[in-house]
Amino acid sequence: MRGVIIDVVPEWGKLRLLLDGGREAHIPVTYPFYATEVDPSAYSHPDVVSIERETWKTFEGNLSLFKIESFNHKLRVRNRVNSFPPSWMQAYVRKGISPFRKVEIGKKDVNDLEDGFYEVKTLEVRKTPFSKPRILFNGDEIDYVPSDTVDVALSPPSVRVSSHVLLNSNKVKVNVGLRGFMEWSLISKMPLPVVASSTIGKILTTNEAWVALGRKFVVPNVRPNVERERTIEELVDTDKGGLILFPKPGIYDDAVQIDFNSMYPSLIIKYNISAETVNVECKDIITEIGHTICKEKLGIVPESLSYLVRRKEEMRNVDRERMEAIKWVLVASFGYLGYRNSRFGKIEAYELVTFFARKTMRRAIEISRSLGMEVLHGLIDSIIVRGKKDKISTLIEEIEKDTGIKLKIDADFLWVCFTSSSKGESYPQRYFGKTSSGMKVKGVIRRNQPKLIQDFLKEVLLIASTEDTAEDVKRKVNDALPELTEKYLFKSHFGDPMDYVISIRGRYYIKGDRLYQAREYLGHDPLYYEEYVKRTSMEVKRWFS
Amino acid sequence: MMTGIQEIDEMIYRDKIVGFKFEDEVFMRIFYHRTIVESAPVSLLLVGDARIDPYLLRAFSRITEKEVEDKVRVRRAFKREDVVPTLNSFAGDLIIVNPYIYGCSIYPSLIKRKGRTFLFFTTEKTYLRAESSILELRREKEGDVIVRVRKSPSHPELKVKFPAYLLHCKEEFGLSKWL
Repeated sequence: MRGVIIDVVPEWGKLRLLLDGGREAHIPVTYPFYATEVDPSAYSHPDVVSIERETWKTFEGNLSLFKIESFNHKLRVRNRVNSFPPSWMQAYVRKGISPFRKVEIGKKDVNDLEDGFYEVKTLEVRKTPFSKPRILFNGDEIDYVPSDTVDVALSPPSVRVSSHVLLNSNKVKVNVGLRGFMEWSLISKMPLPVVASSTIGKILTTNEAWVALGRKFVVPNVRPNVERERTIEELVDTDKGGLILFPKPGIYDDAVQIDFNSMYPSLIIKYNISAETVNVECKDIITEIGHTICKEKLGIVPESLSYLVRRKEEMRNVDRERMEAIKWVLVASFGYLGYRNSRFGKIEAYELVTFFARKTMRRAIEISRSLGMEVLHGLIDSIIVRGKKDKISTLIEEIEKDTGIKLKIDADFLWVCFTSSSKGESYPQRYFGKTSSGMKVKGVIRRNQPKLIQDFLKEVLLIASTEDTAEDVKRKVNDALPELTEKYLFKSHFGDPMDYVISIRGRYYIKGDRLYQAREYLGHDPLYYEEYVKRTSMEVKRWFS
Repeated sequence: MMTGIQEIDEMIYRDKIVGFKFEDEVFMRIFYHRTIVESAPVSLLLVGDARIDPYLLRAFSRITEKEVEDKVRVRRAFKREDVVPTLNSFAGDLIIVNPYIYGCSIYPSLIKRKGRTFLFFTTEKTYLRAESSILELRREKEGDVIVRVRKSPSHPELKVKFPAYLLHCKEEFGLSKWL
């Protein structure tokens, strides 16, 4: 039988494979369990097929384990290790089964044929408050819920959908869409229903666990970590984030923003940063912050991340949604390295990544300056440079050659504006500018501002977007600002109730005699909104002065 | 090891393991930073979300004219399983911040230690107490700090009061009296 696997269910002595079109197949398996000690009675247990001794690696050294093959996937084993991922997942991965792969199923074995991702019929219902739900049938938008049974569906329970695998969209923890979940299922080899209720951390850890199991490296449950003793000065030097350059407030012509591609995962891969390679006996790289790295063998984290980085690049031209889903896992990978409950993380490894990130950024700034460019802004993994635009490709080449990380032009600004506070201090994460493809706005319009202010700023940016040079933008905005301010001052008194709504942590409020939840309109404080408009108008004037 | 507050130091100078209980974290933060400076050279174990503020340490070090930056050795324990092995890895005098936050038993490790140990905590989740004495510190509205002895072999049921400005190494209220 041929088909695409959409779900796997463990049963006594066999796996039930759910294929596209609602078809089912069974293959006989035994489930692997690992334990440090085995009771003699286990040898005569009716569910146990065999018990063998194997040598596995751990963070501390080698470990002798008992491998128990069982018909029962729920076998209770004392002193168990490698309990993550569950033994039934280990059983089907061992058979070469992976979700969303096209397979040929024989009596005992499964042959992997090709990618079956787009052969699966999908249906996704995205509900948004106060508007019609968006329905995506096989990725195409339609305006009705189809009555046909699909293979996989993601929808809220209030919508009646006929599907072989149905996921409740109200219960998913991450907003990546159905194709994103399917991609996660493919890369983590976990069935879709498990993936839909997982966090990004679990996807990442499962991926690392498969690498570890492949190398016969024990997947630790909880790993006590004793940090290296340091002085206060050493701690201050190492416990830092990425490098941020505070820009000089103002508007600048002809600037270019260059971004490092997946900077943190790339650094982890380049320097082989993993729990089992950092601060161990073998010291191939000794860093200025005192941590050491072993380069003898590729680490578990770099190996699993290099697969994800490769996969992300493959998906870039195939499917944007799938690429975004992998991107989220890569974004989480660095933070998870320092997470206390991470199975393959270590705080020293986390500190090393930020150290190399700062070093890489500093090098990029030096190279830009050596080519005669002015570095306007630097923000963790991107820099904005000005001057000698013809040398941008040379700059990218030089930085790539020096740092070993790929770069891309993120935005080619006709003009860019860096904002500042009333005291003249610049905000590194609040800037906007015009590119040939439209405006790029970062941190200027925020959710916690009243809608009135958001509209005011949007209108200012719309006016600014009509001009192509810094001087023209300044003139145009300054000319239009008094009238615009008057319009919004009037609105602060006599506007629509919607204009006064402020979103704070996902809840909506209106400022009246007090801040109240905006379930209904109970009046607003016009002086508060008037003051807000005046303050914002002054701020805008300062940006464009 | 000493806290720098004469009234407290006199009470605990003979005790090997001393616990300081606080009602709020801000107060505790100021107090343990002061104690670190006064007790240097010393080791420091930060458990959970306990933090060290290098600027506050520098301020106290400037006021007390004591160099601390090279004399304080730090380790952090971010999860329950890290606490006991990290605690066992220290030798000599030790200050532990938030030792009971994960509720793990550190009693055997504390008893085995050779140097003196000061523990700073707001929450207590363990019932096996290794401390020779426990002092409870509370800030009063009038600007005083009340120290109540909860456990002590030499000073049972004692209550001591001292002005809060002493905590900041000051000799009088200063401008704060006008607030």
